[in-house]
Amino acid sequence: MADDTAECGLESRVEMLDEDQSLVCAAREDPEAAGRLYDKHYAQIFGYIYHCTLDVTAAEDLTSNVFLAALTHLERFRWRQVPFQAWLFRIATNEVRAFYRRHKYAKAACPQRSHDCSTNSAPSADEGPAVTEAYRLVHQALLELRPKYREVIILRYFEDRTIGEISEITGAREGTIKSQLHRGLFRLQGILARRRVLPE
Amino acid sequence: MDRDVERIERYLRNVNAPVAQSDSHRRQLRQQILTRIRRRETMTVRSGWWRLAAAIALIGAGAVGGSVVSTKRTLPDLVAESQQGIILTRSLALNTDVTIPLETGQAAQLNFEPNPYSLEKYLLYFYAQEDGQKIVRGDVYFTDGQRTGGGTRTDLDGALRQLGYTPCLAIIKWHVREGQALVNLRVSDDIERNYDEYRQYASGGKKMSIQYKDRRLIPASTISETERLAGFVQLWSEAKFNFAFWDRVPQVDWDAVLVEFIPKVREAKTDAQYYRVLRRCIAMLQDGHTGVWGPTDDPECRPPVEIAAVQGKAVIVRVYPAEQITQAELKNELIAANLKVGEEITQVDGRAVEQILAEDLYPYIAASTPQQRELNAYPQLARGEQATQAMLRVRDLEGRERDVRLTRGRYGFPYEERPFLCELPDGILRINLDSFDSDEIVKQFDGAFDKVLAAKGLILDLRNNGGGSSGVGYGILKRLIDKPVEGSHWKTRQYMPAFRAWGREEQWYEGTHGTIEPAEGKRYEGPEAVLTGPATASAAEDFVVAFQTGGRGKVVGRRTLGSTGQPLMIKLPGGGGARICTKRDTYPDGREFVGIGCIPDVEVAPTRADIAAGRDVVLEKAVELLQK
Repeated sequence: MADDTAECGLESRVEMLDEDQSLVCAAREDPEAAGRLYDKHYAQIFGYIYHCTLDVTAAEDLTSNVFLAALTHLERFRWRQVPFQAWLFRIATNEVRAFYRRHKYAKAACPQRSHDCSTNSAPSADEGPAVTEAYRLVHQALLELRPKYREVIILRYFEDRTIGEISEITGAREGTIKSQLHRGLFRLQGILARRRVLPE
Repeated sequence: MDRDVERIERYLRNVNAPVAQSDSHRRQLRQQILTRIRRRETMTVRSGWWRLAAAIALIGAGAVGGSVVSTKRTLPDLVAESQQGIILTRSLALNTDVTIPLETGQAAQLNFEPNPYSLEKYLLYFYAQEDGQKIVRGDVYFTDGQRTGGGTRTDLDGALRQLGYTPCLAIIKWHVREGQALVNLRVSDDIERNYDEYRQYASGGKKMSIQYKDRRLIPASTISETERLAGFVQLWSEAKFNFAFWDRVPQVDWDAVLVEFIPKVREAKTDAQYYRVLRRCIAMLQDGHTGVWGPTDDPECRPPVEIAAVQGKAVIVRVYPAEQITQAELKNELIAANLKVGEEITQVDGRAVEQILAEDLYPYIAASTPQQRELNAYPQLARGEQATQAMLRVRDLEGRERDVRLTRGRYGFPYEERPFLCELPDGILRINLDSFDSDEIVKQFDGAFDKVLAAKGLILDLRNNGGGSSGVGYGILKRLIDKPVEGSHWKTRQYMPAFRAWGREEQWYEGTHGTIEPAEGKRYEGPEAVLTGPATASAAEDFVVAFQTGGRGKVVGRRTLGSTGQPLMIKLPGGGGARICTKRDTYPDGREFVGIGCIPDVEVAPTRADIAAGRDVVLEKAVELLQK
């Protein structure tokens, strides 16, 4: 981590503050500010993790990890021209990678009945959302890609992130992201063609 | 390519991603975070202690909603009400235990927040008490927001020993299938003492009866019949076309094996049974670089003794230190057994050692040589389920027999790291080359080369060297030779489908490991000896081959393992794997050593009496030779 620290006396600066920046500074002292940060970003993080795993229970667990890690140790967050949300997405991406490493040989998660596929976790209280067949097929194909391709595709096409935002999340240069997207899409196309989802 | 990419982009833009939400989780997590932040505001750090705030979330099956819990309430109160998912907080004093009961269907999640300011490293460990069989799985992972480590564990006691960085969050979950279970956690700042205690605890020193790979608790079968068949057929087919030693097993009709084993694969009820069938099949190839392993190998629970083959007998070569067993009952049991190194075990649980080897062990061990088979089999003689008792019939050096009962556990014998370099009398230097896994050992050797040059005799001990990369060994050898030495020769099958269709015999592709040139600059020119034993394997055997070819010194000891080659790695369903040896190595003049072992110039084998007396007769012989 870089050594530059966030200065919470930012109000003395001339430039306008990003809302997240001010919330992060305030959250270090004020739990309610942390709550507002949480409210602002929960849905996106949960949704992202769900899109990656298609498992509500896993998404709940991993989302908990992300926010517990981030919000209860805000003093570890260092501004390096990386927005707070990008930092959250980065933690979430790491969590998802760890999840896949742990479940390397497990079958792809079954949406709507995630408790049937995981061995012993308690089922979620909420029912899983309706998942279109098209997304299910894409998700299964994405699982065959390497994580770096899978992540950039999900962030780009299902989280609507720009190349710049994906670059902030992953830490890779924009050129690298573009290249990963291109290669990942090409391979995804091949997988879907092989599965007869798309024509050859 | 661009057209394909455009097409897939268009497709993806028309795919609707599901909108997911979990209101109960959202509310619960928010409360948990805020509670924790508020709690931390009131925490203080006392000198000599640090407070660990453990947020414990009990998530009941189908729990809906949650209630806010005041942190002023006591832990037992809160636990008693933990049916609906309550977040508990508690400050844990250092080195004290907290016990948490779990009910059926509950998962306990402990979130640890160590104070990052007081300690650089600490030991955090946890284990289940009685009724541990109810606990199914533990997920352990920790993150500092940037890095995440850990994973799903099916051993439900464990420790997080943090060295190097302090995590801000550790999450440990247990999932309870039925009944009630107890989990215990302790945080300690005394890492060395408590880690040894943990290791002892984890390796069976305690009374708990957790079966961490118990198939009754964890789904016994995760692989479908179709997948099993596909996995077996893939394994069979890769062996058929890639295995390099078919001529060594002429009695094996591999095509018939396919037909014979398909029903066995179908009949296997569990993943463990499936992998046992595969092991049985592959063991027929009798090659040490060809084998199968399961995704979660069963823990080797044994009595607190290490057994090895000595002159064809099952001999105790190590006894676990009783003082390291914390549980009094087990400690007293071991002391009462009064076992001595060098004593022979003739029976286990009423069965002769020979019978156990022949029926339970040898058929499942893939080995190139008898010495490799013994090396793998003898340590498993007394294995069994954790916490069960083993009845051993022990024969002492005078021939007197007695029966002893010992409880099985996961005893991790303390690793005895050998020093790289030992100075022996008369200016002889012994260097322990225990692995060729990494270049580090070459660097160590180069770093000690001044001492090597000054030595009147040099002994290279490869008895514990299971291999790695031949190049690493050659990196050391080149400093010991004065003329180029030819490395081993090898060959691999050259399968040509059309040639096969024409009925032509399959050919071999041949190669060599090249020539090992003497190093430029200084080289050691004094007398040398290499020590070998049945654990000297793979790349270490390549070293021995080159050393013997070079004729610079004697090889002293026992035959090497007799197995080297290039394994082809295969993934199997359920997470296991296999390897098939694709390459045959020989001495440069064509002499075989795979399936035989490198034969020492001076064969020396320890006896039971030598082992009991702690004599290293192999080393003594080598020193004697160098002194002449």
